[in-house]
Amino acid sequence: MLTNTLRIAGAAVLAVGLLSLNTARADEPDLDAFNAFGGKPGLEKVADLGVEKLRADPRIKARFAGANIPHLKMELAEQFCALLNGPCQYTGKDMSSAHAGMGLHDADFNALAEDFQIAMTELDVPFRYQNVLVAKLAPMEKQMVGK
Amino acid sequence: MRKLIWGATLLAAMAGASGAAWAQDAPMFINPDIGSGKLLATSGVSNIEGAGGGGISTWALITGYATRDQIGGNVHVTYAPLSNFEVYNTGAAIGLHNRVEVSYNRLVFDTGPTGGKLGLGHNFAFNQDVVGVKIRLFGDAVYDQDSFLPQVSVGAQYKTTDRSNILKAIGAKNHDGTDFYVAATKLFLNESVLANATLRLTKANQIGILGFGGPKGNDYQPEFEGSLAYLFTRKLAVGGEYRTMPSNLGFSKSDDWKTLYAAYFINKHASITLAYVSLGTIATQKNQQGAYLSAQIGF
Repeated sequence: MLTNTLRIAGAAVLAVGLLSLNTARADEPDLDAFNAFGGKPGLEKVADLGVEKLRADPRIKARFAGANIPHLKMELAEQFCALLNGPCQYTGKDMSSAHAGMGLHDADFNALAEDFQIAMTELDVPFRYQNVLVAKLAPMEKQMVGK
Repeated sequence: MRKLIWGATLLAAMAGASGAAWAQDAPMFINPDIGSGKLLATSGVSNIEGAGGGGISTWALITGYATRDQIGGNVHVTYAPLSNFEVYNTGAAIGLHNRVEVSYNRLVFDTGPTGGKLGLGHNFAFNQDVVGVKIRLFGDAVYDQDSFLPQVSVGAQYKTTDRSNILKAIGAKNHDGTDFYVAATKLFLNESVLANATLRLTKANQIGILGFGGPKGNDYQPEFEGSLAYLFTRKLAVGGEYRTMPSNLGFSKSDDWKTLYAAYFINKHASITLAYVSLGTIATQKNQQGAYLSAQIGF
């Protein structure tokens, strides 16, 4: 059965290779996700609804008690836009300094991600494009949690 | 009678799972100890050996929704009616700090009327206990979206099957044995695809239901388990699996196992898995295929 094992392993390696090719096919920035969100106005809606969900979420709402909410929404929309190759520049603090001293846990980070997933679903953003944005945000866990 | 009791158990579990759907999607606060802080579906489901994974494949993900700060766990029941046999599973698992998984599973392999034909007796059943330990070595399948590094775990499963006299009679060298595996799991979030590959060292005949080793071999052999799933929504994953097996016994060959499955994560406390399974020849009975129905309830 080892020949089968090798055959399947080869197929798996090939599949993973094709996936990675797909992600890096061109020099031009991929705007599919940006457009699927409805451009900058769409991302502003996501930031707005997402932040409202955070503020209503018993798990993490205390984290936002003293925050400047309009400013937070504006910065998030800017950041999402920049992450999805939109015509924006993120002007806020980097993620490490923005969350320094907050003592965040993975569960806080994931609660935020969930609230935004729910907001995006309510705003009819297709799930696969939601994932493109979440894929950009997920690595920030290392900069935000345990600081 | 067994069918009746298990049917009732499974129905109760399904009802419990549906009932849990009415509960809130998330706990009222972040408990630092008992946990469901991980993202939905990142628990995987309970596989046929009781480990966190798919239906027949073991994944590198640690079962449950506990983050590195938390402890989580779950129980499961599974029923798989095949062409000539029936499989019933119950088990429990805990996940510690997204680092260690400990699992127990009891599998009942009921030969039904086929048991009579095989000379074992009508409704003859093999019972297998599996105790598993899995340790995440490095990587995070979810957060590491900026690298191609997968989450990698290693594990061991001690398996013991009763009816050692029958197992000896069909040529198995042992009624118990230990599998060792290394599993790599990666969420390609940009593609909404979850991929898993596992290399298992094993002597098990039909995952150990028919004992370990035999006249055609009694050495550890490397076998492969692979799974690909597409995430349709936050709650629904649809995919397939492939698992190779040693063929140690003389009286019957064994084939690779395949599944097509849909896992629905109602919330972090309940999931339901439906699958079509194709397990090839088992104990001379060709083309064993059928449904696979599993429910998991966790905290």
